[in-house]
Amino acid sequence: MTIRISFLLVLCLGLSVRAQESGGEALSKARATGVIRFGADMEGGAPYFIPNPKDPANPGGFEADFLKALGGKLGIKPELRQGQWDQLPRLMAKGDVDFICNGFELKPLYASRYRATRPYFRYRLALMVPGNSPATSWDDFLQRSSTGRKMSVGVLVNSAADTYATETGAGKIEIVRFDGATDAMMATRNGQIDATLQDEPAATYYAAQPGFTGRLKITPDRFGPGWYVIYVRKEDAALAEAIDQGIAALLADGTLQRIYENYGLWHEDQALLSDDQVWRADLAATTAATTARPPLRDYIPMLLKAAAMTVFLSVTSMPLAMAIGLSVAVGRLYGPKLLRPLLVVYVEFLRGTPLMLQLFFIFYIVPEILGFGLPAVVAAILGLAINYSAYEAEIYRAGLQAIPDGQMEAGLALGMTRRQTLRHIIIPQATRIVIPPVTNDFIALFKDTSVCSVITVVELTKQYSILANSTLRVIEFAIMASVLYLMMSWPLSKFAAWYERKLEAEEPR
Amino acid sequence: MIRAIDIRKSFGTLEVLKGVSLAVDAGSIVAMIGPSGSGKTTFLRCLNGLESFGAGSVEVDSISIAAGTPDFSESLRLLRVKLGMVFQQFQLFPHLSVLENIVLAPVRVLGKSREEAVENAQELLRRMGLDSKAGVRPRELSGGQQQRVAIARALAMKPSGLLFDEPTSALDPRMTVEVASLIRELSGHGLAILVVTHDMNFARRASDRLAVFHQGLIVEEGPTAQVFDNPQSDALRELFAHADIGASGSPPG
Repeated sequence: MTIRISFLLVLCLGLSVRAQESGGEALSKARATGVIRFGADMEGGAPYFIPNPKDPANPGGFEADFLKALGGKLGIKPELRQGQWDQLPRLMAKGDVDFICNGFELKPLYASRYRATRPYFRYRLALMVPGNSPATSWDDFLQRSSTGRKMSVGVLVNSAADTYATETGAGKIEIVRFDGATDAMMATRNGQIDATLQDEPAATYYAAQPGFTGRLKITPDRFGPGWYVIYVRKEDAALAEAIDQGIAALLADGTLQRIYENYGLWHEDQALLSDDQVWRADLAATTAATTARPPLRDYIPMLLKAAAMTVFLSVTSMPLAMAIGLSVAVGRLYGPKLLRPLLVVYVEFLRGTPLMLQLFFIFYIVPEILGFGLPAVVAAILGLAINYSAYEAEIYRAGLQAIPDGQMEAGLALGMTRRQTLRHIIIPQATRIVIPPVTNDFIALFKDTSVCSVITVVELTKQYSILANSTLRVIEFAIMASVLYLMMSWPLSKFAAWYERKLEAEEPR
Repeated sequence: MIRAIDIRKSFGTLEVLKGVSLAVDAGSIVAMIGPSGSGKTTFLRCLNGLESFGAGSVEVDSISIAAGTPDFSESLRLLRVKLGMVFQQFQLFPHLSVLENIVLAPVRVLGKSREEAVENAQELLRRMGLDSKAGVRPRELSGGQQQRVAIARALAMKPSGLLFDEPTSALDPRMTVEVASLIRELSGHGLAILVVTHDMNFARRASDRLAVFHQGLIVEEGPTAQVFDNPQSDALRELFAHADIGASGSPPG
């Protein structure tokens, strides 16, 4: 863990140095090379970017088409760099890409740190609910949630929908933050959350896709409008200026309208894109707006609550993992002959596939099979327990095998059954042997709870990620989260080491 | 009494017991001697079903098991209750105190109340001269003390027979006499006792009858003194030669 923190610090320092090096020359470099790199997320990114299997470097989608046209006006070829959506601003800040264009709305947090271009799209939000939901609009949904059962709404973390839901739904709804727009739609379809608030283009595109059609519907209202803008680094004023001119040209010659019409996205509000007074006023106001910077200690209760979730996941899933692991180990060593190969497959399958994939499977795919979805926390506990049960099974197997055969014989010779001997003689001895490795695994599991963030469980890593991305105070929160992890895992490893020494001192038996 | 009839046992193609029959009466001690690999320990382990056997049967009091009796059969379990075993390495349960080693099976197997089992265990420990060791872990005891705990553990089941596998091999040679007299005392209480040993002096001192094993068969059997004084088989004479005891010699010490 200490290594982790110092690594993080080195990384952060490295980033700030790199960012300072790039000095506002993005446009001139791009002109010289004819290429400019930009960041976008293709994962579940339609209709913004639609992967093109035949030509991966040339994706479809309305933003892809827009950028191609823009590149034509500038005489520079835009080149896509894939990144996780909520991480893209940071990729730009550290110089990996020169601009970001992927449904980023004009908002004070970004506009104050980066340079926003003129808008290229007027977005609106849309509410997606399961096909059988009685909700008729966002206001209706909020009304139902505040009078009846408190309902949950999935949003893409840090998106406009996130901001809008937080502002209008405070106290009325529970907001569940996803790393991908389509993940929130799947969870809504599976009944794990009650609705998802999405940008209109994504909502209309996916609602018509095979997995969702008929099972997800969009309420007719459109609300919470705003601007999509391109962000460049603050110092790249020349690049922003060139992009502004390019967008103006695309608006003037109708290219932009044609592209959006191809995707069914041109609506009456898009006319505002050409109304310079309106967007200029919004841009100026947003850039000038100062975002509040509460002192870090104000965030401590949130982080502690998330840390409590991390502890909760660990202490519930580990005993389960140990119980399953012990059963599997006993089954492999003493069970019916037919069962043994199945248990070998169980262990090897779980050890051979990533925990993250298993969590995805349990949270998003199992509901398709069962017909009902597990709540995220339950799925997280189950996923961790099942994954770790394979490792615990192997530890227990070694522990059981370390007990001399004579102990089983002694039990049998006294007239005890095999089961009684296992329970009263073999397993208690094996358990003492496995305590140190199991404690080590517990520490590993404790840290692996962070993977549960991918299925929306707000544990320490997810909370860190939400706070870091919504405030851009990355280093501060990284250190706070690391310290919390360390404070919890260090005593555990001390215990493991102490117990191991104690056991060694007791040898030989 | 313990009675084994025509026990046969093979490991793969190797036949290690070629039809062994033996009876041990209540209150009598039979020692089984013979060179390594002659099958005596395997035979002992067949008697309480720790080894399966290919043919034959075993009877202890009214309970009998035949070849092919499955490991989980109830009659095998009941036979084991009747037939205690003291292992060469004792196999005490290291995670339990001396008292708990003795109390476990009577409570779990015989369904005795804990109070009764503890009282009985304390009485047995007194008999073994170990009443002060009830609370300690087996690893804190000497070899001889561990053996007496193992004997007490077997006696707590109130068996009618006891099997001893090489009772002197894990002990200081000076303990041989003590072990012999302890076994004598047990048979005095009416137990049928069967001992595997390679220690001629011990066999002579401790047993009433002697069974000589050679290549999977009992080649000679009879009252201990008679067999020692007048060996009939080459196998036994060979053993004596190696054990450095004259056929007609008197027991040393």
